[in-house]
Amino acid sequence: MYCLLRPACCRLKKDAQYKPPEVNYRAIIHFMSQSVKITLSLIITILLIGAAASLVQQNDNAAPGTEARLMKPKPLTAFQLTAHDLKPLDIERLKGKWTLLFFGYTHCPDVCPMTFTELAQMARQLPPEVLGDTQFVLVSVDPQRDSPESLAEYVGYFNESFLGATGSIDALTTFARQLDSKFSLETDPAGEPIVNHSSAMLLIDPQARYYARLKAPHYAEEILAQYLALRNSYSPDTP
Amino acid sequence: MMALTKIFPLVLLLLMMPTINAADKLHVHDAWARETPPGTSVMAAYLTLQNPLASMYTLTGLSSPDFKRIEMHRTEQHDGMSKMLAVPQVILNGKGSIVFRPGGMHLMLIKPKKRLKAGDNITLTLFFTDEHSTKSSLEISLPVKKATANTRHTLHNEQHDSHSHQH
Repeated sequence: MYCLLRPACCRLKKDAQYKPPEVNYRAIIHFMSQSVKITLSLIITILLIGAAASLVQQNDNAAPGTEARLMKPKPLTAFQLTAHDLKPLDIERLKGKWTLLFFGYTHCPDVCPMTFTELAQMARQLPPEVLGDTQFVLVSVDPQRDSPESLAEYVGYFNESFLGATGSIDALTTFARQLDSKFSLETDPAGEPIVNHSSAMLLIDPQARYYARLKAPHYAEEILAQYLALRNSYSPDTP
Repeated sequence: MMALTKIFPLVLLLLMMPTINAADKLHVHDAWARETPPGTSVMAAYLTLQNPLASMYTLTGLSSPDFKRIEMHRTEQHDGMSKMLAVPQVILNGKGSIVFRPGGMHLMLIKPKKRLKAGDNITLTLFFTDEHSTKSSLEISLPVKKATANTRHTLHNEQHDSHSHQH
C-alpha cells in the first residue's frame, strides 16, 4: 500500500515545485501582430471576392450567357477524332466557325435525345447568317458501340447539318480534358454498358478556343439567348 | 324548368361516372415513348402513375411484348456528370403518384423487336405488389411520339394537367 501511494505522493511534491516557464511576451506580441495581419488580409480577400462576384452578378443581368464565358478563352491543342463523314474532326475543322459541342452517346435514351431535340429547335431559330457559321457536334464517348455510320444516322435524325464524331478512348480522354469534361464507361450487373458523361454544353470560338460552358439542363430558348449574347459580346482580340 | 331540375342530379351522376370508375384503382396518364433515331437499341418512355387508394403499392417491374426488357432508371446530375441509375422498384404511396418524365425517372425500353416510329403504339404491363404482398398488374397502351423542343414547358403543363386521364 505504501509502495503504491508513494510515487503519487512524490509526483504531487514535484507538481508543487512546478514553476511556469518564463513567458516571452515579445514573441507573443509578434505572433499576435502576425495573426492580425493574416486576419486583415483574409478579410480584404473575402471582400474583394464578394465585390468581384457582385460585378459578375450585374453582368448576368445585363446579358444572359456571360456567366457561362470562361475568364480567359483557352486555346485547344492538337486532337484528332473522326467525324461521321469519315473526315477528321481536328483543330482545323473548328477554326472559322462557332462550335456547340456535347459529349454523349447514341444508346442514351433520355438526356441525349432531349438535348439534341432542343439543339435542333435552337438551330431552326438562328438567323441564317449566324447559322451559317455555327456547327453542332455530338462527340460520342462510347466508341465501341458508336461507329461513324451509326453517328451519321443519329445526328442526321435531329438535323442534317449536325456533326457526329468519336475516336479512341485515349483521343476522347485528351479532348474531353481540354474542355474540362469527363466521361466514364462501366458495366451494369446485367452486363450492359453504362456510360456517364459531362452534361455541360461547350462553346468553342472561331479561333478554336474553349470559350464558354453552358450548364445542363439545356433548353432551346436558353441556349439561343446565351449563344447570341456571347457572340454579341465577343471580340476576337480577347487574349 | 322543373324537368331540368329533376334530371340535373342524374346528369351530375352520369358526369361523375368515369371519375368514380377511375378513382377506385391504379391508373396511368400522360404516357408516351420518345421516338428515337434509327439504329438505337433503347427508347425512353414517360408516364404518370396515380394511386387513388389509401393503401400503398410497390411497382416491381414492367414487361412488354414489343421489347426484350424494360427497366426503371433515374437520370441524375452528379458532379457535372449525367448518370443513369437503375431503380429496381418504386413505392407508390396511398393517394400518391409517381411521375416518369424527361430528365428524371424514366422507363428504359431495351431492344425493340422492330423499329418503332411516331404513331406506333406500345403495350406495357406494370407489375405491383400491395401491402399484403398480393400481386396485381396493369396493362396499358402508349403512343410513340416525336418529341418537340421546350420540354421544360411540356413538363410544366404535365404537372398541372393531371386530370386529363387517357387510359
